[in-house]
Amino acid sequence: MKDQILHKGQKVLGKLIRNKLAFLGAFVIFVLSFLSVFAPMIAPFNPEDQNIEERLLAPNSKHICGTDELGRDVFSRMVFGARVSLAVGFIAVIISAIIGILIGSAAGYYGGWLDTVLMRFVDIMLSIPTLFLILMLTVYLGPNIINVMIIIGLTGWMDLARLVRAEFLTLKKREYVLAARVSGASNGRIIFKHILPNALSPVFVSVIFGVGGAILLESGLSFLGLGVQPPDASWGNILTSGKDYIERAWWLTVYPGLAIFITVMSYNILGEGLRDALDPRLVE
Amino acid sequence: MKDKMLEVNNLSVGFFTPDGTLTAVDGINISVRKKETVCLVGESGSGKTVSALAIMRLVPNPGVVTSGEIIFNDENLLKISEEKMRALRGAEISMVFQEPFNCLNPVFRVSGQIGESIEIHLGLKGKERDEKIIEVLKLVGITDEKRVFSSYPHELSGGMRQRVMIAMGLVSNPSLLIADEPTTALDVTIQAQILELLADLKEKLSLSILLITHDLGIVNEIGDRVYVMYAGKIMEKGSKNEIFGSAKHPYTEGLLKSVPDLGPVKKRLYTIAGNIPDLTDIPTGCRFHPRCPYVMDICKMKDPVESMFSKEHSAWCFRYFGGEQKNG
Repeated sequence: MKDQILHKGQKVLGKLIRNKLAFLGAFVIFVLSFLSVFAPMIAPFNPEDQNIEERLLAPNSKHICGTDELGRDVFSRMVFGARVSLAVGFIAVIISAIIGILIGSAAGYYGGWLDTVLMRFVDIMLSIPTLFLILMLTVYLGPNIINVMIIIGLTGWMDLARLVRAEFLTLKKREYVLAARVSGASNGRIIFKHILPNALSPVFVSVIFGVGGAILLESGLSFLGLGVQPPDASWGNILTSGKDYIERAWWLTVYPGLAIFITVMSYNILGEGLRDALDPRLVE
Repeated sequence: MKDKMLEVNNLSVGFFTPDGTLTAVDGINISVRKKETVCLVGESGSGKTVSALAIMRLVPNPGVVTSGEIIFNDENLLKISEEKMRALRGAEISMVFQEPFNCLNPVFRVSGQIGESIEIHLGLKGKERDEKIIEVLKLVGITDEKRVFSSYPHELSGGMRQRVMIAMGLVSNPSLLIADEPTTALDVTIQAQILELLADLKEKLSLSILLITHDLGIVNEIGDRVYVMYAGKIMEKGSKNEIFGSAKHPYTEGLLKSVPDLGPVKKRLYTIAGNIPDLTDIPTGCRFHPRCPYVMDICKMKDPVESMFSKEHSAWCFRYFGGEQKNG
């Protein structure tokens, strides 16, 4: 049974570790988190220090990823960029998880007109191309990192809401929900204490995938100049400034591109591994 | 009467489905006195569970209580606010279900399941709460209460889970326990233990029990009074001895005859011919008439009236209309 597997945490963890690809993903994410937490100690240079003498240097022993057009160390900028990417990924996803869970559980649990209203709202949100919505909101709210987090969070909760609603539709008919009601539990208590924990495993998987998506979105926005503003570093805006020198200085685009690719990929394979580990029907 | 705990008067529950209205419970009257075990007996689909859920005010959608009153301790439960009702559920009236496995939330340990009711109704926390849990686990006859306390439902046997369910129901000292087929999913020896436990708890806690079952063996074991229900209506009521000794209604007779005897097989097991009627298409007159061996013309046209045989014992059947027994 799906809901029994949740508290068999060790079993899930075991399955996850045996899945080498997922383990690799988790390892990369761990390393990245470590890098971004200790960025000031790890980065060999101040990411904003310019040095005209050393501009557009190819990777060498002093600057392992080379320098950019202002002579800033690319590796240091990328380490600080990891901070931005991971923070945006996490916070945006937390925002969308909260909205998605609240709307999905209310719609699924109460049903009726509330369900209709909330789900039509989800349909409307999904019918607007996300990128245009994000662009519009950033222009309106102003491009900075906090707004980017909020905007990505506000535009990414719909799939999760549908998922949570579907889980609630089946779980609310379980006898233990009736049993909880018989012992006098209120609706809020039933939703958050009795049903939600049983719905968490698919939610968790979807959230992990969501982090990868949010990081990709942030990079895209920063690339377009609507995300993190220079001189602050982000993988997206390192790419932007590098694109003008792509023929002379490949390291300005290849390294941040690789960083984005590897990070998003890691979240995706971790998410997939987690989905398989949490799925009781998949037995090795 | 002063010692009445629960009185259900003329209760009807309808389900408004797209295929038409279905009357699952049709004007039933039930009473439960203090420290009494009342059994509600009938086949599957006769409306027993819906009646119980109606008492808890938890009739599932699209069901609606269409008429009647439920008097519990001088208060009409159908008239009080939802908050007040919630405070009663689990505290004054508890319910135990048929499937002890499905009724325990798989993500909680036993301590969490039982603790839930304690937190809601008694407001105890921490050590006091844990002590109360251990106490109630002992009360329901669990001997290794420490292990059970921190077990998940899937780690327990069926009988244990049912004990945990009962413990959940009893933890805040209710005065009425509604047990909906509490032993159906258990094997016979465990069934006997659970029944013994219920009888024992009834004495210890001066509990009233409304027991819903289709098993007359259970009724004989712990029932004080019996209501026989068929297709949403009460067919016969009486004390246990009256029902088992001198059943009047042909349906009750049929049920009693359908209980298998242990010992050498002498004859085929008796069955009541036919099936319980489709509730969207209830037979006219007496609902039992298509299956009744003594059916008369009047049965097909009119609803039977109550014939009283003693203070407790009544049947709703035309055979006794006017005081004498008519056959066929």
